[in-house]
Amino acid sequence: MRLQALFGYSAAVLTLIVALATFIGMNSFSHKLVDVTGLKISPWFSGGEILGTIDRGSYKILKHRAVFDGLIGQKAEGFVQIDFSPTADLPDRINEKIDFDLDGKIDFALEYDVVANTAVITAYNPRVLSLAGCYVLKERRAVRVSLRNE
Amino acid sequence: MLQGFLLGLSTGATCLAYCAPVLFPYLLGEAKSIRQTAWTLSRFMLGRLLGYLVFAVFAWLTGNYLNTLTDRREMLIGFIYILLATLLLWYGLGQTSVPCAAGSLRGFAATLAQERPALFPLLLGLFTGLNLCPPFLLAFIAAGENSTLGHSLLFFLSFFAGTALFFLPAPLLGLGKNVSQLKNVGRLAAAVMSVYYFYSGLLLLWGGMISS
Amino acid sequence: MNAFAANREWKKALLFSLPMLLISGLLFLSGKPLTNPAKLAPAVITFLFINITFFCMIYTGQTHKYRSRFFILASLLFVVSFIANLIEVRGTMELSAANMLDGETPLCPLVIPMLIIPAALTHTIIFPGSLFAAHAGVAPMLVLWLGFSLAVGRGWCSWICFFGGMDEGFSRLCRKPKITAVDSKWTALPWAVLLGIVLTSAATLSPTYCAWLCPFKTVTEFPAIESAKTALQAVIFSSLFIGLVVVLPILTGRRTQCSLFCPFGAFQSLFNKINIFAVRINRADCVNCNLCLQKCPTFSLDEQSLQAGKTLLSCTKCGKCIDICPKKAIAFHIKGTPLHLNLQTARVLYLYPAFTFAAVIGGGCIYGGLERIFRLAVTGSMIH
Ligand code: SF4
Ligand code: SF4
Repeated sequence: MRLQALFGYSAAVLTLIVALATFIGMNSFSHKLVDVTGLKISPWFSGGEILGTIDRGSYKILKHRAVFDGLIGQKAEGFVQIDFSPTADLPDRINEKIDFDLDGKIDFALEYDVVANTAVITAYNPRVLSLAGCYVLKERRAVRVSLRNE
Repeated sequence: MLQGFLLGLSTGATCLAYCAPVLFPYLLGEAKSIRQTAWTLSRFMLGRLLGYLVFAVFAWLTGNYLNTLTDRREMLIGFIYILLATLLLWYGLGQTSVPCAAGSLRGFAATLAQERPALFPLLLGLFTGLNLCPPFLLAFIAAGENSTLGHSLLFFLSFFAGTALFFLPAPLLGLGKNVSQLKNVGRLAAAVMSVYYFYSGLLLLWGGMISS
Repeated sequence: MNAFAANREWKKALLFSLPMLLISGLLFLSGKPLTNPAKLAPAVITFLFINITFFCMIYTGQTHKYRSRFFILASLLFVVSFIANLIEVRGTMELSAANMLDGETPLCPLVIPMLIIPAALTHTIIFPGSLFAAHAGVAPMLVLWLGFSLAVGRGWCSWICFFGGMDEGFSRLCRKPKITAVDSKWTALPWAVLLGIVLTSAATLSPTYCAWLCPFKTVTEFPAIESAKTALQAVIFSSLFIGLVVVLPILTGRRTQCSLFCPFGAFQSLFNKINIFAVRINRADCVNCNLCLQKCPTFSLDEQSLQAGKTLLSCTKCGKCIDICPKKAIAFHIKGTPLHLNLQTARVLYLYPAFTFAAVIGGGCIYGGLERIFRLAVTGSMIH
């Protein structure tokens, strides 16, 4: 009983230390947390890792990997995101032929109207479904195209 | 596979809520130690699993039949989702009694419990496994979408695994008040999930209408 | 109390308040640009308010009264500074798809239960935020939540949750409850909602509560209304807000959103199991007047629990029952220590961690809101 009480009071004091440590160590703890767990923002929001870059002189095209990530395994449908950056030097219209799975074959043609922020997709690969959206981001423009999984 | 597991998880509390009134009085009345309870429980669960697998075969047959019936399968399933969601909501919020096959077992149960005590929980499980409670019907529909018998069996197996999680703590929890609060959670979860299935059903219907 | 004793009490309270003066000086004041007169005044006012609140709690022995004022004010001023900040950086309370792709959504703690299964299975956070954003990045919020939950359990809901503060604020507008009987079965609803959102979020890999149910989008940010779906969502969240945060609290005098709906509150209750602090009723002193039971803001006492001398799992450790019990039969308690002994020690040991969090988080909200209001008074606008 005595020991329990001692344990109780010590734990109670410890909570104040936890409280102080939470704020003082916030920065280092959060980096630790991410390092240890390897957490990332879900590719459904972030767009996924960048697979390749095409240099077009005044601007660059960034191809993300196709995202089908499910909770376990893969989903039947997903998307691929293409970024254009920096925004300041983009032409008014961009026409690109995109090979999203890097198999050497063109999968779709993208006509992106930068000014109106609209796009048209012509699919060459049956896995390419439709345009999912065009987005004006802080330092880039992004276009997402819906895909069917193999 | 995963879908089945998730469905099991999401409705497991409801399943427990429906089965608890059948299971707990028996567990509490019969078993003495936790180990004995666990043993009874595992026979009960085995019975349930058997019941589920029987249903997996049915679900597959029905799914195939539906396929030959119409090419607007999506719309049909959407429609059934909505119907079932309504049922689920009704069970969740209404004061209906347990639609569990094991409920109808009572008279017979007494005799059986006397003569074959070892078999009893197994049968009890089998009958609760064969019941027509709403989460189960949803699993039925979802499994019907599977193309092969193997998939259908797998689906029900994982559905079973999902719901089983809710039964594991049962031997420890089996005390009067907790059961009733658990029942409330189960019922309300059924109501909450019904809204989700209702919405999914609407989307399926909508998708079917657009594509046709 | 004679003059001498009063004098001693006063000094004792001052002594016990000194650590908080230090803590709040260290954690709250540090990093504030105090050379800027426009920021100095709100900082000093907040700092004083924090410490006066704590002193009053210690001196009077009343927890709920002062905690509640602080809590409600923090929540009101949180809304002021949050919205002003959104308008400043984004120009609107609406959250566009592009904002989400940019990872610009501050992580709301209410999302945390939905993150767990996907994070465990896919190592990803299913939320459109950033890991280390300056404003409520995912990682720091997780650390904060973990620290708090370990230290104070569901005390979260009566010390730092700004949403809980709104619910409490409206419930305090109720002078005489118009609705007194609430079927206890409804207290199971938060668990049902929790179950539903955790599973649907895992299945869809998106935080379904945020999209479909969270009432507090009404006073923070919400997805831009661009389609039938987003319009439906807007109808849902605003009616939940009006019903559960405004109307029902006024009618019942209870925190109905927190106790009958909020899935995060239910989730936090689990931490009460492992938390060292609890609230206990001394059966020897209790006369079964049931006052605590009728007044608990979160329905965390019922007849059975009262007989057992304990609260239910959902207790937010707000201190209201303790303050109002006419027999002084209820008290904060440290698990493992002898029951109904050293009550003051237990209380003070609880108040330090709980109020430390309140001072930094709530104090930050109060400061942020005051700063905007000062700016409005001086420049005629809340934003730059
Ligand atoms: S129940 Fe929810 S809203 Fe209420 S205080 Fe707790 S977390 Fe906040
Ligand atoms: S039981 Fe007491 S301390 Fe706990 S929430 Fe209710 S009034 Fe507050």
